[in-house]
Amino acid sequence: MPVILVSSDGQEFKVDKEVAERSILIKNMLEDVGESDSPIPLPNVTSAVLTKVIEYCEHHRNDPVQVPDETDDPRKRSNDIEEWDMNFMQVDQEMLFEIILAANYLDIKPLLDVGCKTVANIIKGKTPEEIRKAFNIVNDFTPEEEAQIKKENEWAEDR
Amino acid sequence: MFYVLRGAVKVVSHDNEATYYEIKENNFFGDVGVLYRVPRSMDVLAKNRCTIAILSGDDLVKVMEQSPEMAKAIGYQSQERYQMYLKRRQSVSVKHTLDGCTGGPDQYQDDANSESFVKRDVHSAIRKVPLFQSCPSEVIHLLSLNVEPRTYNLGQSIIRRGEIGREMFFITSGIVEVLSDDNLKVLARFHGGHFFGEIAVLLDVPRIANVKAVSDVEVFVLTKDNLMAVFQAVPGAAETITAEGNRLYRNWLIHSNLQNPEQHAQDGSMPAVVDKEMNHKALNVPQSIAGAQSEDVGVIEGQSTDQVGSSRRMSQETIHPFEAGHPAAISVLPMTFDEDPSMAQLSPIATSMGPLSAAEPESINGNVMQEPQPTPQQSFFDQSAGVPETKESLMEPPMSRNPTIRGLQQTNPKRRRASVAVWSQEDLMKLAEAAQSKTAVDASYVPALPTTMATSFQHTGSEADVDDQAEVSDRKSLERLTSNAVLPSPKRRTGPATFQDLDECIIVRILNALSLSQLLRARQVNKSWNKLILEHDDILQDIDLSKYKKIVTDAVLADLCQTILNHNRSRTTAVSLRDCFLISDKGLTMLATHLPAVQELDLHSCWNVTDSGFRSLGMYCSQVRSIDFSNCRKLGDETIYSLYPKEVMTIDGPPKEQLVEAALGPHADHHPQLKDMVEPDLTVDTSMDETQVLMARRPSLDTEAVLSDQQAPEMESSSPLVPDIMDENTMSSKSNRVGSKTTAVAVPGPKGCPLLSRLNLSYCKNLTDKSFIHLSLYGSKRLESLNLQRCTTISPEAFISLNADNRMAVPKALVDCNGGMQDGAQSSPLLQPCFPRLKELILSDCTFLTDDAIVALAPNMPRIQVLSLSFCCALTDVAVEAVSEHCWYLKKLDLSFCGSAVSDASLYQIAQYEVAGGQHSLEDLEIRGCVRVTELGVREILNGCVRLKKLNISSCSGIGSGALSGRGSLHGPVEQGDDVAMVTDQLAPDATSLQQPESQNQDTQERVLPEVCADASGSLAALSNAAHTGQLARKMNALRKGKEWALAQQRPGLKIIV
Repeated sequence: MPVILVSSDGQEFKVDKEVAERSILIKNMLEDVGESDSPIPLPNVTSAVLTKVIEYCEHHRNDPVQVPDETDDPRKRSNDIEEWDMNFMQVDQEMLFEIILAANYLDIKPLLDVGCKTVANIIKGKTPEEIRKAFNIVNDFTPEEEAQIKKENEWAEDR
Repeated sequence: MFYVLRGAVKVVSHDNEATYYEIKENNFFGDVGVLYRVPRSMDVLAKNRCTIAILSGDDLVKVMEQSPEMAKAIGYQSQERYQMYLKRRQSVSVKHTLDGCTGGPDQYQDDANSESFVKRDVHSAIRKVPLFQSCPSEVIHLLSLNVEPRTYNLGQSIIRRGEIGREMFFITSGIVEVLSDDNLKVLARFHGGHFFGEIAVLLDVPRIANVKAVSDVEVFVLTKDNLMAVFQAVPGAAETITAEGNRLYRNWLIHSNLQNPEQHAQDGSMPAVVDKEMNHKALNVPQSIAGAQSEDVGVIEGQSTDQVGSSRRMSQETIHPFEAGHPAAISVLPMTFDEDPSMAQLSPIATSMGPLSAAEPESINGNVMQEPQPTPQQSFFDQSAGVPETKESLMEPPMSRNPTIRGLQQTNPKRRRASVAVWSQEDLMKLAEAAQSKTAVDASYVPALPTTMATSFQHTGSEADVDDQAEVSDRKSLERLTSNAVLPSPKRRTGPATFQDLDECIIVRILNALSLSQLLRARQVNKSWNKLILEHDDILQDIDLSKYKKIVTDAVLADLCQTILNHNRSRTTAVSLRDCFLISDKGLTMLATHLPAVQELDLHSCWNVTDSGFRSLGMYCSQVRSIDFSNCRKLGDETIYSLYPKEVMTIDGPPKEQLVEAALGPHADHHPQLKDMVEPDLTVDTSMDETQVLMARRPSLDTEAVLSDQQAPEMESSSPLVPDIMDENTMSSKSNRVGSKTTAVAVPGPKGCPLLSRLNLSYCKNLTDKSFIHLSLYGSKRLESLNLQRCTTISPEAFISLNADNRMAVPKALVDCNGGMQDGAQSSPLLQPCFPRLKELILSDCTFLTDDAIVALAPNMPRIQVLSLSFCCALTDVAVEAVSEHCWYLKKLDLSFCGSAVSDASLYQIAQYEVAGGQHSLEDLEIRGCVRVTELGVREILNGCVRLKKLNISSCSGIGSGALSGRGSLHGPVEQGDDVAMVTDQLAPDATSLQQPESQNQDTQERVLPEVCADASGSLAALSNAAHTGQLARKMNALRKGKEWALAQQRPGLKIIV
């Protein structure tokens, strides 16, 4: 039975229940409400983002539902991203953050994971200054503090 | 140095495979080597018959002295060539760092390309760029020294949106496309002679668009620093490039305003009215733009002092497809007005109830339309074209010359977005939404909308003003915006998502995906990151230093301890020092003091650490559950003692064990005593009366006694044996217990590792029997996994001691109480197995192990699931029998190369006892290289172990050669014959009993039986021909048989490896 999702800008998306339930938020919502045709409003997700999220859920509709402990344990998480996911995440930075926020809001752990890893990949290989630039982060260290930290981590540089 | 008079030569790669470039008549080569006194950088071959004039180095110098003209020419060219050569040599490493952030397979192609690019003459390539055409050759020379040539293949991405740009590109050949965010729309197309990528460099903003190569493209890359140099050197370059950059950036800002509604319209979500409206307007606009454009150009021509720059700009203007594609984007304002009226008409549609809202936008339209249009353009060019020739302004960063950008830069990025682009965009979206739904719209925000638009436009207009003013108005407009805006949801963000929108928990997730070194580097980003990384509970739970094994020294560990480990000591639960062979006792001790919460510890191959280092683990890491000591060559018995200090084990163990260990207290204070006690006893073991020996040497005896003492009231049936032992020991043990408890309280020192459940001691060849006995006494109760692979210094006696212990210490009656053995009368009494929780035991390569050891061990590990005895060559069928008798839950059994232990008979045992225990638990059996095994044995296994999923019978030369062939067997045909006979004798009753539970398979099995026999005899016949073909035939036969068996069993999950 299809589920109707409504984005923040009022657009309706008809998706299979199975697909929609990739989102734990929606899953719980559906469980609470029971069988109902009424559309589910998602005031925090715009249609552009929701389109992306649904695309992801469609592709991963048959994935086994992960046991929560496994995904939460950083040790068992691998750091590589599937090829499809990698291509899926080829979006600009704003959209990337939008997807992450949506995944967090909709409680889609695997998507959140992929998003975070993608951001991590952006961070990788960048100097602190480049990271700050990439994300508009203000450097609030004094030069001394920064030098101190740099010194502490010297051994791990360029590895 | 060489001068080509006739013909041509070619410069080739080392292997003569690739030709970098050709040098034709009237050119020279070999100059680099002479002038720079470096070894020849290239191989040069004659391409055809050629005449070459050779000039020696000294002569060249003379010639150059005489003719400065020529000296200059030669000097320039050789300098360029030399730089190119150096660059090319670095290109591999450079490429890697450049592309490292984006990754991707392209970077390797890049490397190859950069080499082929060298064949092009940079000098002439730069000349092709119109901007530099009029430059004197000195400048071109300067440029060609600084630029980096690069090639991109078709489809390769050159710039990605959102990246930080540090370089701009000049195209020498090929075509690139500027693409929209989604890569669907081509915004512009550049070809040879054009430049791009200047916006990010000049204005310090992230890349605003994607740029892809649509053919093979050759560019040269100018970094920001170099660009500054060019600005100084090339008159007009500064204006042209900055003007172009500014213009494009403004266009982009406006364009991005409109993009979303446009997309919206494409999506079909906007009503058709809007679509038409927009089309209509778009048709009308060009005229007004034409005017603006000519004015625009006029301004430049009039005011610019540099003709080259302005003419260049004009030509750019005319070809620039960006403009061609989006005529409205030429100037800032026409386009926005293009949008505005349509909105003004839209809002009445949406809110027909409010006439005011319809009127207001129009009035604002009028205001804005007339007033600011000329201002920004003019003042902008005033500024940029009027001043730039002076040195001072050149010293300034170029972006600050433009007040627009300056104003933007001074406001923080979020505000900037909010005021210029996003708000109007957001409101447009809202408007579209309102129009679409055609429902009554909340009147409070529709009137607010035009105001918002107006303020943002005014803001753009006023940007030419003094900075303060701009900022004030900026702030004002922002305030108004926030006061006016009615947000649909309180959580809703005010613009496109930025990094700052992410919650802490998401940032933590991101940081957790970084490797240790990256994470440490990220500490420098800002204070909140530093704090997160140093203190957050969810970060650095797992510290893996194995990647840095070659640099992890004691000093590094000290650094780690002082920084990331010092702030939050309780978060780190797993540490891997795998292969960190440089660390010593000092480092590990320091680390241990900082890891009170560690649960998993991998110390594989930390072979410089000795007992005194490992002892710290027992002192500080009381939570540890798993330690991998494999290949720690200096590890000795002391480590084991410190992991299980006796006085501590009395307190921390679970209740039962607590009691058990309590009795052992007194020995703790003077451990050597125990050693002394144990050592001689082991030798005496066989000679003395068993009971006496035990009394004397094994403190565990006391424990059992105490245990039974404590448990006696609870146990209904107390055996006559118990009081006997008790009498002897209760007094001492009770007093001991008191003593031990006081000492434990008094000494807070060593805590031990009472929770340790997984212990890998493989290849620790300094461990002796004492370790094993200590382990079995104090640590065995919680152990779930023990790996003693190749611990060849532990003798069978250590294992045997287990046996004697239990047999004597455990009263028979309690066996029944604890249940388990249904028939179990005379076999082994099994009250307190030494390793009650042990699930995995690896004894591979313990070649010393005897049958007695296994016989003693087997009853002590009733829960064992995984047992490896591979290469325990001394074992015989007896050991296998003991295992199969006691280890009912065995899932995986590795008996590879236990040639003398595994025969058809022992396989039968395994299969048989599995059945007897009521459990067919075995899932994985390895009997590689067990030459005595034949098809019959395998059949037994297959019939008996119904859960079997994997059976490895490779290198079992007995299989497939025919059951009775006996070829190549060490044990001779007779013995094997016996085995088989025995099996076949028992086969009949067994087969029927086995087949009872699986009646479905019965038919199949009965059918298969004769088949297999027939095959066996057939293969025997085949073998008699030749040994060589026999091998092959055997293998084939085995393969076929494996398949047959699997089929016959009708177990799809079963995998047989032959």
